[in-house]
Amino acid sequence: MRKLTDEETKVFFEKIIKYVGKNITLMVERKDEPHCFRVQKNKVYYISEDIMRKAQNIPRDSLASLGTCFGKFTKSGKFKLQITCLEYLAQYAKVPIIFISILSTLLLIYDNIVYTNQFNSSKQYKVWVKPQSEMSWMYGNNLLKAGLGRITEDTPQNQGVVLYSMNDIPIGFGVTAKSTGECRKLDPTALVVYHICDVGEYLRDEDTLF
Amino acid sequence: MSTSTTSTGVVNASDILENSRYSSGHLVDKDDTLKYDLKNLTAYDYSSINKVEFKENEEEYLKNLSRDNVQLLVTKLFSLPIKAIEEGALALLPNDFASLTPTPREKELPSAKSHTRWEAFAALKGIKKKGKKARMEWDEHYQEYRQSYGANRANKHEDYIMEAKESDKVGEDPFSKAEEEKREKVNKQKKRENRNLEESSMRSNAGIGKVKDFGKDNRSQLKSDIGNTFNVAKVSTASMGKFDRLMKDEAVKPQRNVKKQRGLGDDSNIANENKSNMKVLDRIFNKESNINVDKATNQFIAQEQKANYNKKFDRPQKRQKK
Repeated sequence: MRKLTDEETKVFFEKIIKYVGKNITLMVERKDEPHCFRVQKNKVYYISEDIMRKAQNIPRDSLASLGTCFGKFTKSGKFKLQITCLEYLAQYAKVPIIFISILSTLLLIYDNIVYTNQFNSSKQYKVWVKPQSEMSWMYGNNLLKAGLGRITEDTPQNQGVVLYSMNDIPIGFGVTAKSTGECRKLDPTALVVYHICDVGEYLRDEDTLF
Repeated sequence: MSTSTTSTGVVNASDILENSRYSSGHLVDKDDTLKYDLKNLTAYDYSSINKVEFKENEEEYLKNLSRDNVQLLVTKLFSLPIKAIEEGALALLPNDFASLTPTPREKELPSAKSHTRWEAFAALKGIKKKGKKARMEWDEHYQEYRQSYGANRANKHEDYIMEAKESDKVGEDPFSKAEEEKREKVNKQKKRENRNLEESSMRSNAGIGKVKDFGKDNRSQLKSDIGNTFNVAKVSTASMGKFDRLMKDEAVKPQRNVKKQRGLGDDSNIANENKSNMKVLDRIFNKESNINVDKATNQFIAQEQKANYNKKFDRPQKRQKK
């Protein structure tokens, strides 16, 4: 178990930002109990300081798992999210934007044209799935237009989104194939959200998840 | 030499002669075991010293020994064939390399000049260079000798009139086209020359960067270049240096494409860690806005420049000189 290197931290945060935007700061600086990110055998865990300190007594080879696994680093240094982090992605995707620096806000007001795009990262985008498509999504398929219940307004293309069932239970996350505007004109068989992770993986990949 | 001096401070030849064991003054009471290098007026005494005599009086013994040896050398010199000239006599020094003392060369051996690409190709194909061109050539038109190069060269092809070709396009000036072609040729040759220079410098410096000036200012650069080359060479075996033994006192083996890991260290201070994490996040978020500002300004400047440019060159073009 060790800290993330600077390079790893950057790669890891950039991945998370795709889904929760600036809310990631709430995850780093928790009000209730200090938490931290730790790497153990290529996997990144999100753990409370208390547990981390206890785990420091266990040798690396013997430590199987701790805290919440967020995903793992590939050999080439990329980061892959796992379904186990859905709890946090869903939680922070729900929280309204709190953290916007004053400077950015002022700029946003004065110069709408240049600065509109930069706040993609500070917004959270969600997709709600119709009940009849939930199962298909949970078997690992991409989401079609037919299964699209609701989608956040102004969602751009290739944006990380968290998927919910119609009664607001998170069921996975993915990347949009089309923007909200384009979605309206699509036919029912067209792809809307690419599959990244779904809750079905808790059963399918049970032995490698944690 | 013997150093007996009279009270007047002048050395008398007769004094020396009487003091020396032999009245002739140039014979020495010892075997001639010296090795002579007469061309350099040198002799070497390889015989061992007499320890008993040496211990009695070091100074005296060495003086006598060197005097005897110098005498032997001088005797040898006088036995050489002599050439008489007006000012006196000259001894002819032997010119055989066998007796010459081997001395190290002052400068390094000259290295073979590196080939240009064309020279390498010509050597491969067996193309031989033509003999040297004469400087002056006969000009048929002017009926006189002219230089074979330059503006007024002999047999210069002067295009006052050019025949139109079918491939000529309307509105194209064949004269300026020929000029353009020539300029291109010259530029191309310049590029080739540069390439040859770079390649040869790379080879002669064994890949030590491209620094060719070995002056004081470049010393640190050269040093680091050599270090880098050395490190590359060390891991350039079939196993990438994996099975090579380390030399004694050698630093750790260099590794290829291995980045230093930063950010590790103290594991227990969560507050600090979170602070540095927030900094990373700030950098990620701010980077986006900064880039956008730059992009916007650049776009604006580029647009303005383009507008200016168009305005400037929208005027009717000048007629070209014919």
